[in-house]
Amino acid sequence: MEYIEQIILTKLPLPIAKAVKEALLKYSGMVEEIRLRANRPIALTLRTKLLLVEYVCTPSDLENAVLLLCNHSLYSYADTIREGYIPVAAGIRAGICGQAVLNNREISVLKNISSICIRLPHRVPHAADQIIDALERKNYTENVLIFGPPGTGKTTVLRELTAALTSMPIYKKVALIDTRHELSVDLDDSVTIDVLSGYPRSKGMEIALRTLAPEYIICDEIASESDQHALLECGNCGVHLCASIHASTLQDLRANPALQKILVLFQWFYQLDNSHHGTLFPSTKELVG
Amino acid sequence: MSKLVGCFLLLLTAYWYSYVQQKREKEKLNKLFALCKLFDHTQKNISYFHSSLGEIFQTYADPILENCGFLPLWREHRLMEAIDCISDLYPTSVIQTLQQYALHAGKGYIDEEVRLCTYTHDVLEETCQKQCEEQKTKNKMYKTLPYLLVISIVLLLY
Repeated sequence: MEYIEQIILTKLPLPIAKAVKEALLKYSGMVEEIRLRANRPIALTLRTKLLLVEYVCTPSDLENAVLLLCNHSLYSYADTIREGYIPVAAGIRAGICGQAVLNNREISVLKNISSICIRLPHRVPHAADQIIDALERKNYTENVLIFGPPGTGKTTVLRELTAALTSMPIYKKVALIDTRHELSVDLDDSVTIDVLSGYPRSKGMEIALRTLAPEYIICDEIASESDQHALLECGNCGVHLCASIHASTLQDLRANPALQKILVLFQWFYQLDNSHHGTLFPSTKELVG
Repeated sequence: MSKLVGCFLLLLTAYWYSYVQQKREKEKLNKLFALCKLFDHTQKNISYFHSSLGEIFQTYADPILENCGFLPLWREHRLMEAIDCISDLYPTSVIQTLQQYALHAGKGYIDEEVRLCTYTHDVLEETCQKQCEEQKTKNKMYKTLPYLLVISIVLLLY
């Protein structure tokens, strides 16, 4: 069993851990997600396959699981719980949903947890080789945007890209904005890396730009306007960028008017599909307008 | 001669008993102070850094709580078992407060958690003060015990 799978077993209530252990042993290294839903059987996602485990989670199982995932310290994860996730350990992220209690239109508390989606990160060596080859041709002076639907491996590619850029023989100074504590996992060989862990993306980029003098800023899941604004600022200051964004196709990217400003920053686009296959496109005038 | 030996043994026993009791009271109080410090540390770490209980307990060191077996259990989040380690030393009200803490620790959001820690700390601090006063009185009693025995022996023998 992999180290990451051993960790997750210690973070689950005993009946769930017992039920899941056998499957984790059998499909070690292949389990990407563990999904716990109240009054429904446990579901494991194995690359493209779904595996149902014969154990029906009770609401109290889910409550206990949240406490264990939070290290018995709900308060310590209150901010991320409001954002819908718990950063567990070693890059494991648990997405949670339930009943939101609002205060001034902001989520103040989450109660009656109904689902937990635990994502197990895996290193996929060479997943970013295409991108590295393309960047190398221009002596690492270009920017790349990785896009794809959820669960297609954007974070994995960014992690591999970070690992390649910050280790032998490239050694670029990289500032990694790891808002959700999942990018900077298992990067033991990375030498020239500065990790801004838990920072909001825009703030992290601003701090990295002003204080760390990076050659590359790497950032996952660009979403809000402030993230885009920060990207633009970094791009216009001569720092190179690698970022990821949710979008299914190039047309989706082009169709989103909010993204038009940032698309011009990127010389390369890397599209991931549902079979985790990646395709690298150079930027064209038709694409960025 | 045998009377003198008997008196000497009685005296020695009284001194020994007095010494052991004073030491026990002191240890009991030290443990209570150490618990107070633990809760103060926990409360500050939660308020300032929002650290998880695991992080706080793992990095906390205190030889007094370590040696009595409380801290190793506390670190493993076996809070109730840790409280059982010291349950015979303190009044029921203190133990109940600690048990309440163990039941609710980590299950609330930040304000609740800080309140819970502060309340437990305050109860322990109050008990510390009370026990300090009690200890002074008890120590006086333990110190006078051998002298009283000497007087009794003198009265009995002569």
